[in-house]
Amino acid sequence: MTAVEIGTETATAVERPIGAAAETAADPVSQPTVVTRQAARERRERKHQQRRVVRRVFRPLVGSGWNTPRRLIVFAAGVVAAFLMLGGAWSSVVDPRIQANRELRDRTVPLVATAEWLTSSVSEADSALTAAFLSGTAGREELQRYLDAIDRSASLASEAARLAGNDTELRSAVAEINEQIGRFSGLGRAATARQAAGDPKSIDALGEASSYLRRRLSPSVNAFVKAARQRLALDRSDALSAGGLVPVASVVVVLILLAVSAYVARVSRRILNPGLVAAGLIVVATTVGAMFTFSAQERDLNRARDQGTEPSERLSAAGTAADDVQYARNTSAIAGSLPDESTGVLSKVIDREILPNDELLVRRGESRMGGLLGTALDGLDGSETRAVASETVRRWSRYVVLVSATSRLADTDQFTERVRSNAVQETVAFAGFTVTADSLLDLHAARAQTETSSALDRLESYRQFMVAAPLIAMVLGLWGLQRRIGEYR
Amino acid sequence: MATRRDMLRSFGLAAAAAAASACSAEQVADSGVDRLRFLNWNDYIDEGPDGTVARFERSTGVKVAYAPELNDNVEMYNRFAPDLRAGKRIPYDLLCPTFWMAERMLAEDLLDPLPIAELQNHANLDVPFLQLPWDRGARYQMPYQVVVAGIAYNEALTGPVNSMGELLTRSDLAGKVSVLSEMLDTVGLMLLAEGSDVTNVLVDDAQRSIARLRDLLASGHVAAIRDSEDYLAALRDGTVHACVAWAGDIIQMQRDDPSIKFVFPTEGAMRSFDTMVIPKGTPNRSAVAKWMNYLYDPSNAARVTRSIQYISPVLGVQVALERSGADGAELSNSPLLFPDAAARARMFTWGGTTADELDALLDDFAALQEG
Repeated sequence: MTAVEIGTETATAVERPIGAAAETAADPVSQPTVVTRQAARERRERKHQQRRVVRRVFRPLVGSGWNTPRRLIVFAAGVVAAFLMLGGAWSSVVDPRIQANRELRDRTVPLVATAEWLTSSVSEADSALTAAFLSGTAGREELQRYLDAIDRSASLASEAARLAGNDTELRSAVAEINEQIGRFSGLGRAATARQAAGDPKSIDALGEASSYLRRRLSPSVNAFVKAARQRLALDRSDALSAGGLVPVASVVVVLILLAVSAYVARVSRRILNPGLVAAGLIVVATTVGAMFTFSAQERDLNRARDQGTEPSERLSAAGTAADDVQYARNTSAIAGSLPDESTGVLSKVIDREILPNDELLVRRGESRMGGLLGTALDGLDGSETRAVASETVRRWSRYVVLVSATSRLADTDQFTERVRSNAVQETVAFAGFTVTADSLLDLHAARAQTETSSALDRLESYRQFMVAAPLIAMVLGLWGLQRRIGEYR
Repeated sequence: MATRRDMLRSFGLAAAAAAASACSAEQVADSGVDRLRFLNWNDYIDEGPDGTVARFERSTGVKVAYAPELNDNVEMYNRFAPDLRAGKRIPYDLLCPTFWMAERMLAEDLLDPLPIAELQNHANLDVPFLQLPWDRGARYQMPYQVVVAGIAYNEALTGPVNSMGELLTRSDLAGKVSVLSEMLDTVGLMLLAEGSDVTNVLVDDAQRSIARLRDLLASGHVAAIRDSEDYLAALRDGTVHACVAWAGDIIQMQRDDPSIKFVFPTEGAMRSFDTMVIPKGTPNRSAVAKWMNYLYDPSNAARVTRSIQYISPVLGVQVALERSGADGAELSNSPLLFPDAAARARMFTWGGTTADELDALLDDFAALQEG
């Protein structure tokens, strides 16, 4: 009421001091009212001015007026921006995952497998060298096995260097290992040459070679395996990272679509806009598909870990403990002393006597053996893997029978004599175990590789949808808006 | 006496035999999957109604088309390799080439892996065969029998001949010496005598040995290069006093003539083995697995050893023979069938040559035979 009066009586109020209302004009109470009206007018004027400025700025965008079609065009631009944002967000999740997964498949998983084969091959070289020494001239097969193991170690080190790529830490570790293999090989060859020449100091030369392997080469290889495993863990984590960003980005876009839909529904008096609804459904479906794909990818990578890299790590640990048994026996026999550690370490590998039934249980995947090897063979799936695991148990069992026969000897001379005379037999039985365990490592590596490949295939296939879906949804959304805009033209 | 080394040198005869075996094998192939078609060397298994094949059939219900018609590694390769390369099936589920041919076939991707999941007796494979650089873990082949080449001499006609050096230089043996037509064994033994590493053969060294053999043939010291049947006959009738020989043949011969002796030469003996491989695309893998498991059961392997008397690659055969009593127990003590560590340390297997190099050496050696 007051505002209306102020608005309509503006002209007369200015003229009042001249006529009968002069008294009112001079009224000290009435003076502030005039000032307030003027201020309000000025404020109103400023507001109009601002609106005019805004309209002037946006006029080129929305045409000659800020009407509904122009609002729809602005919304269309917003929809385009939202879908571009969505595509960017999805790519920022999927592309690094694909990259990390590819890295896992092509580099890290083979690198870890190569590192483990390297460990096994270096241990075999050590065991074959000491056995060749113990068996004297009868140990030519062992000597050959030592030389083969050295050659294999060198070629595995080269392969590891290739797989290490640009990782300077891994590359320098491999370079060091390569150098140490060369040095160990030289020491071993010198020792066997001295032995062949009947040099009594050849034992010292062998001790030097073996000690070099234990002090330098083995720790370097172990450190390399550890570094390779760390890299595996990092790549695995990268391959599974930032999955949550996909639904978050999708929710933002769906909210934008809902808001636009609500406006369109209000102005068009139609509840559903088919284009916007289709766009929203595509976003939701693609997001759900992405979550399923990520989940399947994670399952594949978990299988790669549970049936590939982790059993392989446990098997390597069992193999190292087994090597320690053989090493303790051989060095004790060479030094003419009783082995303090071998029987103790033996129980580390499998902590109880192996029963005939165990082999069958391992074949069925129902093994309940303890110890490092028992744990490594627990819960394996795949009939071929379990068959090789079962063979590993059988071959370990054969070795243990041979070892146990001498481990019970309390007399040093008897022990030394028996180990020396059985050296070839023991080493051959031990080699049977290690080669079969290596076959199992191969199967684990192949499994890890297969599962990682499967994860990568899933991601790469789904990536095509994730690229296409925002584009299709965007086109549909624009088509929906265009229909409304067209009605106003 | 016939052995699996009875090679049919005539290509026509070989081809005819192969065609006949292919026919019977194909007939078996058409009759269902529980069939095994096995191409092996001749006289290389215990035959008859109580033989290994018959016992296997009774034990497992798998029908076997046993074709003892493998006469030559190269001939077999030339016959099957083109089909295998083209992805076609061949009429056998199991072949038994010598190790170097198995290695070549594996390198050319002509073999399927063993059905390891079904091979519980793979664990009875002797360890050295797990350590082959070309098939570590024995995932593509299961050795059938091991053949050791060394020196045989007739004690009634000459004194002991303990080394290749003696065999090829002793004047009292001039004209009374023969070598085997198997290049890898004869040239391998000569290389060992010259101090070469036969596990990593250098082609020049091998060619020098072949040239030396040519000279020995020309001078008449070596009377002939003989195949398996010829050399045994010559040894038996006294034409040859000493020769390069296979241990398995001599063990069999000693039953009739104890004066024939076999020695591992002091420079070393050559060891080779024939091995069971699965050609690519074989449908009857399950039957193959049953057969391999059966053969790798020590008691079944012992029966084969008892019959053909080659070194078995199966662990536990010695004990099984000992338990079998009679001549089996006697065989279990044979140093030729179960060489000790010292003897094993003097056995070497040919290696290090590429397929092309080996082909060239085989051609050079064949030229000597033809000459």
